[in-house]
Amino acid sequence: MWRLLDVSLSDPKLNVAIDEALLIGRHCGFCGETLRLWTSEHSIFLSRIASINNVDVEACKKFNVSIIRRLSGSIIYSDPETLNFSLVLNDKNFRIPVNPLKAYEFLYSFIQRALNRLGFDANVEYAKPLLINGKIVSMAMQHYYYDNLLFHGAIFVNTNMSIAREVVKNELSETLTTFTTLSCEMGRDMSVDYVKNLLASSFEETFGVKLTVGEISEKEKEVLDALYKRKYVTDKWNIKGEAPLTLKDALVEIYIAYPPTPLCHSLLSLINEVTADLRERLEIRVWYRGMGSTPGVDITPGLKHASKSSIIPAVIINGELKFGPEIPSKNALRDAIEKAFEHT
Amino acid sequence: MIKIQQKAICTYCGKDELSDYICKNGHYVCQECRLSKPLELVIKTCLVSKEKDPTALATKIMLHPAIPSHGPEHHYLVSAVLVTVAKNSGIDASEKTLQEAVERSRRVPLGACGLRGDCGAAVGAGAALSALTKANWLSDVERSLAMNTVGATLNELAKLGGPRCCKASVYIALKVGVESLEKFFNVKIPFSKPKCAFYSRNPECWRERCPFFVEPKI
Repeated sequence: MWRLLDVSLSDPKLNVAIDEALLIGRHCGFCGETLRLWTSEHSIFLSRIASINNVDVEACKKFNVSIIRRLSGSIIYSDPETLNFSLVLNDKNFRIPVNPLKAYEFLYSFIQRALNRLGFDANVEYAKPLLINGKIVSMAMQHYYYDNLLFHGAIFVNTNMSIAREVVKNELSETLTTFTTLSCEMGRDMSVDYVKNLLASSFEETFGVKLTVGEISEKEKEVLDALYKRKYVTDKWNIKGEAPLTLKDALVEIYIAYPPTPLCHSLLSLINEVTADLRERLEIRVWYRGMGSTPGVDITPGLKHASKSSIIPAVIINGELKFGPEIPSKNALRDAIEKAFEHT
Repeated sequence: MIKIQQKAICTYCGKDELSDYICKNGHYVCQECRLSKPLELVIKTCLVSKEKDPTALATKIMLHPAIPSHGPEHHYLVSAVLVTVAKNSGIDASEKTLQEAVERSRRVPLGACGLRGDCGAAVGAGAALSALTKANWLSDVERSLAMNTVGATLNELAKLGGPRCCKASVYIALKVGVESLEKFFNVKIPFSKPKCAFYSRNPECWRERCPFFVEPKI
């Protein structure tokens, strides 16, 4: 069942954090597939890797524009007249084309259909913004977390491009001349609510699904709360792009062989025993050598070290290689984990 | 993977022991090899291998998770594989020859191809030829053979362009190395055309531009 989430919060940081909470929630099985349509107070959204140097921080203060980093995308200005869309789904359930070019076209097709209904000839090209009359009217990007996808972007309905031009710097400011809004292209005012309804019906027609209006679940709210406190309100994330290692109090990573050897099994048993009373506060990740990385999950420096130096089995605590290849004693492991809590 | 306890032989080191897991094709990798560092793995695999086809031996080693997609492990892997297939094809080579060839090529650092123009896999082939022919800086044809092997490998790799692919470099170095061995020692060494099993792990894969790329069947 597809959920339509029409949730926009007044705090732009909390608003953006919802997308990640939905993605994690989908991975944890808290919810099904979701289409979220939302607006934000005046904000500039940076991608994970975008430099803060492309943003005029003083101008943001002057125009009361929040700077928020999100999981993917380029640099997008958003205001209450910009309609954001976020699609959260499991790629196995939705049969997204394997070819990333085709996947992008496939996911963007409901936006394209909606704009075509307005009489535009909208073109979609891989990793490029959506154009009408040769000008950018929508941008979107994909981000994977395990096998779950967040496809999110924006449609500039009646966006205040003059503020957008003030708050971005360098060549980005120049590229904004190639941006347009639906209202501008239509020659009349378009309402965000009208476009919202248009997108929802276009979505149902394009993908042959029925959307049911829903709410954020309690479990998703718990994730949202952790994301907000540990990530989205921090300058470390919003300005530097550094994500917290975990949403819990500490992270323990175990690097073992695949399939696990008896030695690896001993380490896993030891970890289970030592952390039995700490599960609420501790995130445990098990990595198997040669099985590749997991989309959307960061490789910590300690894991990289263990992998590059073939230190296996290994225990990495809060991103730092602590033990390996010898199995630590119960006490040494417990002490190291407790020390990790002290640093959070 | 199938969890099963039965007598099994390690695919890499040849150890005969009770398995804990075997793969669906019946292969077993012992605990020691599953935890091996790349250098240990390459040496112990080559020391017990009876393989004559360098493609088969190199591919088997590169499929082990200790060998990353790219990295200096590929440099000495070429040396070890060439010495092994030479020995298995009747060319005189001892454990010391293998160790010597590996020792010489493992000094080539990561990224040498782009940073100074001498791909470590090419140097690995040269080191194997030098070790097998007992060449040094005073030698005549043996020295030329090693240099020609490195040069010919580099030429082929340069024609393929970039960015670097250590798997392709290994296969090219082995192909050129085998040609040199056959010419010098007058032996026949089977070289089966590689069909790359690693493209999905390499985001910079050359795909259709690579002589070893095989279009995956979807």
